[in-house]
Amino acid sequence: MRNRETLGNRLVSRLALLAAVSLTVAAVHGAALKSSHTAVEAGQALPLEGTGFHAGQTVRLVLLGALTEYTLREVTVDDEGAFAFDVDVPVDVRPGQYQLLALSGEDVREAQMDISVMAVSQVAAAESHDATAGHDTAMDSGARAEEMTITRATTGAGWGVIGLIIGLAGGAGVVLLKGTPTVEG
Amino acid sequence: MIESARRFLNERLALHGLEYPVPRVTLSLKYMLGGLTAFLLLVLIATGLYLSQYYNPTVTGAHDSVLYLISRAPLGDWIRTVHFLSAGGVVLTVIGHLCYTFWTRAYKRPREVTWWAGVLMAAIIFLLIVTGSALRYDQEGFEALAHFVAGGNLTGAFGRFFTDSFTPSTPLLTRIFGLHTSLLPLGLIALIALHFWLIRHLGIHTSGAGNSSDASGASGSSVPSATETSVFRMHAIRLTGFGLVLFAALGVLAVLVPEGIGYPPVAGVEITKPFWPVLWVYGLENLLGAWGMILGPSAVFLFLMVVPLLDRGADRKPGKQGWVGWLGVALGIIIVGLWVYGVFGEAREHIGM
Repeated sequence: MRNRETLGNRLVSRLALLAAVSLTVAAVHGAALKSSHTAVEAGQALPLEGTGFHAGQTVRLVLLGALTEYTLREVTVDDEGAFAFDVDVPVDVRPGQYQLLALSGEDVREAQMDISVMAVSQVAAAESHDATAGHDTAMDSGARAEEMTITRATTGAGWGVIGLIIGLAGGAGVVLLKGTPTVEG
Repeated sequence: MIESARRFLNERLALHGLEYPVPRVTLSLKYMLGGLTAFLLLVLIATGLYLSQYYNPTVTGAHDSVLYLISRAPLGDWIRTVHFLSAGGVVLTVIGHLCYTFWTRAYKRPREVTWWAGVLMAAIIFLLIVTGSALRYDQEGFEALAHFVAGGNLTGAFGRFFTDSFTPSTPLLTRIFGLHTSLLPLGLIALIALHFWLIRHLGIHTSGAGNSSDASGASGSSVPSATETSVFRMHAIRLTGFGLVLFAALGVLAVLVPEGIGYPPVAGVEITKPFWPVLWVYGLENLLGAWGMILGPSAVFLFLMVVPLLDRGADRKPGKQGWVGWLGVALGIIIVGLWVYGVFGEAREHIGM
């Protein structure tokens, strides 16, 4: 009993120490990315500021989306731990919501901010829509009713978990039904 | 070990409260359609909670987040398909439960409010189906969203919530997501609670089961004799058994036929047909235009709401509703006809996008 208490106290004190160290590191190293824009059009430049980095540190700026990742450029931070410039967003970036990350070393996240990337083609599509008045709108617009072909990524372990869930549910269901009386009709 | 665990749970969760008598016939599947609906709703809540961790309810992020769910999230593809299939399953169990209670005239005194709660739940489930189909935000989802806007514009101030003019602060897609994941489920849970409360205290209606007894005795009929009764715990165990087997079957189906997603939407065109439970409304829109989506569901809802008021006679025999019954049958045939027309009829523009 006493051993258990000692073990518990030790665990709590270790967790408290870990939390204190983490908070201290976060307080000392408060790197941040900022921009006057919350959205940018693909192919355009995004005004960007970085502060709170280590002086002379090199970080990689990456756009991370749900499906794609784009490396924008590398930047070496000045003596005050800051940088400021316009970063070009490639024209082929897929429209959507992204995290703009500043990564150092082995992909350590130093700072991040959210940014929306808008399609260049939205304006062009609207213009071409007006120009093609009188044609088959659905065909001209590129709208498609069929489903996409998607590479599904369930792993072997995933299939195992699915099989287990189905097996347990079905087995438990049958056991419960067999353990209860049936009624005609 | 199992016995002591059972005693532990029984004592702390007051499980002896489930030992009240119910007619033995409630152990049959036809008396479990409502319970199976509730079971599938639990599956939908569980899978929906998982999906909501990955879904991004914004115009710029929705489609990509669904693609992410299908292609990268752990078990995301399977869980999403189970969610989709369970939604279809709920529609079937609700239709079965509704038809059986209508046929057996379970809506008659004193169970009018039980019936009305059920009809409101069916309406909410219909709204959950249409709001859910908009969230995929492919061409089909986008057109579903456009139908909300068109319907909102047709109904003026009443439907303003469904239009973009409601507020510039939040996109319609985000508000529809909120409706689908909070407001509608909360309403549904409240109605389920009311429905269950009334069934518990008024008793389950069993006059369609070959005996004309009424478990409550509330309408003057006798409580079933001891030989005819079971206990609710047995009903609940059997219901859980059916539910788990159904869940396993849906799980297998989800492996065999995974649900897909269409291409990112293009505004200004209308080329898809909706999710299968809504195809009867699509058929009606082919005939009446955009007003079909307002008039069709409203007519069915109103008819179901007034059924207990129209059929008020003392006679309680199943299937003897007279003209109310025939009206219900006619409405059912019309809906099936519209559904077939929606499936096989040509795709048309209804809302002039």
